[in-house]
Amino acid sequence: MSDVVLGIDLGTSYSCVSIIENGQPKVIPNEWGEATHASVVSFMEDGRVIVGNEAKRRILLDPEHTVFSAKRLIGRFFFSEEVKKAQSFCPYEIVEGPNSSVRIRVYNNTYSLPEISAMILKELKSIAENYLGYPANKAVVTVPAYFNDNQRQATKDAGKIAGLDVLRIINEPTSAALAYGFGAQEGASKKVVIYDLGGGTFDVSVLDISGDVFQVLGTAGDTYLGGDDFDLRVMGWLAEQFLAKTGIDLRQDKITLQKLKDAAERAKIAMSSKDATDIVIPKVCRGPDGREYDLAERMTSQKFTELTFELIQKTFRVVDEAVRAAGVNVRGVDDIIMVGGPTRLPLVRNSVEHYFGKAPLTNVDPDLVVSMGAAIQGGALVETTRAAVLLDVTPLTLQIATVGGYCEPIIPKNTPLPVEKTRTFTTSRDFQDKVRIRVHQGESRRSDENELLGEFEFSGFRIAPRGEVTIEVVFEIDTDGIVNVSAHDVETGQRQSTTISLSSGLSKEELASSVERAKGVQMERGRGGDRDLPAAT
Amino acid sequence: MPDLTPEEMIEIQMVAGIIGDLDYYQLLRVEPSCTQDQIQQGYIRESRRFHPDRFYRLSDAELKDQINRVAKRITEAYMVLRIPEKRAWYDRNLAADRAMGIRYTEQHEEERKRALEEPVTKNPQAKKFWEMAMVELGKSNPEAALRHMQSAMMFDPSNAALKEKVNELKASLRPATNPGDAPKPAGG
Repeated sequence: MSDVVLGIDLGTSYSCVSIIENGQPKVIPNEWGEATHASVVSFMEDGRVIVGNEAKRRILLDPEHTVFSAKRLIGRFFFSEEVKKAQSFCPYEIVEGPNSSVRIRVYNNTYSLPEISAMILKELKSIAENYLGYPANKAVVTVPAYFNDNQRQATKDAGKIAGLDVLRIINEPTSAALAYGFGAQEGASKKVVIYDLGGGTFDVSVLDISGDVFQVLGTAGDTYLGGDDFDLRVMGWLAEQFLAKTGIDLRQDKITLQKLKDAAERAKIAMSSKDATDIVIPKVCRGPDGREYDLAERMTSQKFTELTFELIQKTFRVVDEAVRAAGVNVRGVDDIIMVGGPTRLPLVRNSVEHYFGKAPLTNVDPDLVVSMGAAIQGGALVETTRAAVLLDVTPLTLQIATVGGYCEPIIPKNTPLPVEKTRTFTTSRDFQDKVRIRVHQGESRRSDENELLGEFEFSGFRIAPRGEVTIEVVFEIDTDGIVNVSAHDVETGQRQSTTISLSSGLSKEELASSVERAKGVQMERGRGGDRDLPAAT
Repeated sequence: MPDLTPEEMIEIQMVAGIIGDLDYYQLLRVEPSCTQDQIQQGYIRESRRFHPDRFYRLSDAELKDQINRVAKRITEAYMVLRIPEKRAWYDRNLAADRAMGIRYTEQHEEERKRALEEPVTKNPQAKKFWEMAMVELGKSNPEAALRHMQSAMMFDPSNAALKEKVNELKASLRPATNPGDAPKPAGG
């Protein structure tokens, strides 16, 4: 069984790892029975690194040295909007690295995003190995369907740094559908919606599944809508109630805030199974009179609905968009799959049922379903059983920069993968011996409004007058959604040498040194704290 | 890990070997006269046969490369045939010169766009019928296309391009005759 393949859901807030055991996907818990692990990395002054649920508790206690939401930054350029946005709410230091890349600085060390994600992957790998009793170095890792080439490539690099051979990058919604057993049955084609409300992000995808062939028809999302927003609403209400009763504002102190956040999260989770819950924080603070105060509130499901209903309404605007993009009628949807802890809330389930006129599928744990699907595909890739065919599409249009800041589309979005397109270029100057091509992904006609993937320089042309050398450039997007560009001389067939510059990713040398450096990091897995929260939000 | 059966191996190498000679219909294993639904079904069916994930366990890099090439060509075929207007243009190119028209290239796409900008006829009624004919062609309804094309000619009778198209369509609709199976004279 050295061929075990880990199925890894590398989430924005929580991550999870599964394997195939006796033909069935099985989620591997850590030593403390926790099945999901916060995607948080906390650095200690003495060089130790804590990853997971223990690290999550340090977000408010040691904010400058605790990195969360790394997935929001991976594969981005430093000048991108997303990075600016992250800088506004991340207390840790986000700095610029070589080639406009993003780095995190902690205690005078800088880390690339793939290195941070690699620490989470390493943690998951070690949880799996601890369970298996032997090394595991193969994995299938999931990413959101809308991830561009840079983000996919960076995720693959993270795997490499963690000592994992990433066999495939697959899309989260497709993975969830696999875990529900779609693909294992023959039959007519089905339209399936995946409603994925995670800790920090919300994604909707519409799939067409016929037999074992999965086709993504459309996706939409809100990258700042998730379970954390529910917690914040409850926190705000708790703080207001306390302020009204005692005149003390609990939001003034970091440690109190952490207590409040924990209580709010626990209360939210309780709302999945109860009509009301008592929120009690003994000795929540010491008042100006020197006296210690307790917090005690009762939250009814009605109150909770009132606090969060607006957030749920917001999700349906995104669903509308995805369904429209897929060209599907809401009433024509065959199944709805729920992903993410907050989808346990009756309020969410009822709203989904009301919207589609059909009860969603909920029999697989929404926190674990993505990782289980990845394990299924991983197993199928290496076993004799034939893998399901995931006909994923490219989520963004591949374009090349032309003159005047404009772009020209090469491969339109929603093109099934794998795909390749050829473009011919002729030299425009006498004795021109190289050509540079900037590749972008996005829907704008202007290059600066699209994500830059990189600049490719092809050189070593035949020396000839202008117009006499014709170069064929091949743009390929593989099944992982990763872009490859190559070029050759049409007449001689000679392959041109290629250099890539202006890439947000790691160079070969950087990757190699990161792999070395990762071996030296001293990882420590702390106890998950006093909470009885194996599941994620 | 068992590898492919000899039959599978031969099949893959055969397809990879002749891929340059296969038109998009042959790649999707559908008839040139098939419906759009059949194009979709053909794409799904052939993707199942040649998707790289199916062959992940193979150790032969050369063979995997061949499979990947076939898979990409299947996508290419589907991307053209699934859009009726592109399909009609592809059919035209293929009929005109099989070797040159076997793949839908960037030049073909440019020609198509240029043709769209330059209407075949300036007569507004004729143009309307011509467009309807093109839509029917896209749906692989040559009979309906011919009717619209003939209507277009009524409004612009001297138009050479329309006349040529009508003749082309008539030719394509003539039933294929087997040698020795001469059509019977009418009324005989």
